[in-house]
Amino acid sequence: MAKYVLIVDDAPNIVLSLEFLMKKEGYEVYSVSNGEEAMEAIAAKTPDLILLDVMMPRKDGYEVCQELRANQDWNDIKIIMLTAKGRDVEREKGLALGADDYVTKPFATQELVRKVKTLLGENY
Amino acid sequence: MDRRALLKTLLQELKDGVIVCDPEAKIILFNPAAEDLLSRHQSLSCGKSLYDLCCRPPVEHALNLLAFQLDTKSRSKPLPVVQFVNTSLSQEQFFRCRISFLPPLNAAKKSFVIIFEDISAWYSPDNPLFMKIEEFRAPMTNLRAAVENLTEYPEMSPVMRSAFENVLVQESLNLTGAYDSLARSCNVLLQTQNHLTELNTEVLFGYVAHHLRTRKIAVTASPKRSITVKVDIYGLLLLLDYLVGRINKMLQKKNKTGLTCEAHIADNFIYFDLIWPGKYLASGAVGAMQEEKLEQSLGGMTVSSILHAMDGDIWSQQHDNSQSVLRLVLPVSTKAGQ
Repeated sequence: MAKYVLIVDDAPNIVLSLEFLMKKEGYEVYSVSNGEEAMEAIAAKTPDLILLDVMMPRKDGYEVCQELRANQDWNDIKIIMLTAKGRDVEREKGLALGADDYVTKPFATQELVRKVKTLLGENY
Repeated sequence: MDRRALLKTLLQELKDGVIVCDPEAKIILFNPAAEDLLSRHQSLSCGKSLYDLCCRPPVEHALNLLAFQLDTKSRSKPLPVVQFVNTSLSQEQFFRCRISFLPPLNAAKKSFVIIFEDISAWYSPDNPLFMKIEEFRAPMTNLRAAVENLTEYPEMSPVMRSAFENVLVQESLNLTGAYDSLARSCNVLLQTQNHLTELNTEVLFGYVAHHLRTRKIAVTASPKRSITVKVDIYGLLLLLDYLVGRINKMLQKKNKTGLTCEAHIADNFIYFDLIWPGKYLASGAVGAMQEEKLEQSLGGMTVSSILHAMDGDIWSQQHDNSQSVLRLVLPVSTKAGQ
């Protein structure tokens, strides 16, 4: 069965690329545009991995990450934070609040695919 | 050449304003540049208080820090000056200030010299250059992803190809706009140097502990080693006071006490951990705190803008089973090569 990737980002141009890439890799993909919608989507169906933007309206990525890690049922979900914040201290913050990996924009799409596959335990 | 005459000439020719004050901050000597810089609203004259010309708290904090360094006889060599930002009383002008004591340093009350450089042309409490640079990241990402998809997957459908081509057009325009805005800012920012003071952690942790003790907060500091950190000492103390106040208020509502602080060093960062019994603060609550303007800050700075100026951040997380932490993180100084 195809692994399920949830994309959470409010910028449609990057969502277009991320959806395209994840579908190309054979994943089931669903996209939402803010943190509140993300929590609803996760409650409806638990994803294997979330590509989670940090700066979003109505609940940011840090808050989503913290809520997921506070609930044992969701501890196995892999989280890659995508952020336009380039400072080292923000990477430290993302990992401290429960992200499995942290990618700073701009990033290479194939590098992101490699990280997704590694976290999902697939060979690249 | 006569040494006195030489010093007088140097002082006259300096572009920065130089003011010498007695221990009560009464002006005893100043150069013409100081008069040019500081007498827009108040005339500058000997015998007048320095605090009639500029904001008092940042100067007092800097003097306290200098005195603290001398009193503690730090193992590392004390810095001869403390650098900080100050404003005119009208808050129309911003200055980078450097302050140091005048000999004899063992006197109970010490005179001091303060140097003013006008940075109003480029200094903004909201740190706009940092934000402008960050504005590049999103359009660059979108552009790069679209280009990579177009080249990696040439067999894609015409509908997808058209969608990605549309992204190229939109994001090229966004990048052009971001570049124009950054270029305008750079014209005034090229002269910038930062206004932070470099302190070793031995002095910084000791001074923060000394400050928080006056707020009845116990501070433990990691004694392992000492590294250099760039700080806005006035902003940092305002920030700690604000965070301590907020957490204490939260604890009082729950009839709890027990807020403590731990200062320690990690690989690339230093941490000030405010620790209390109970649940951690949600990320959204910390985010809201970051937007708060601090009452005594210079130019209405927020928690977030003070943190950004020092390249720092805050967040809250579980500390152990029964305690939580609000962590204030600052990067170690890269200039020190550590």
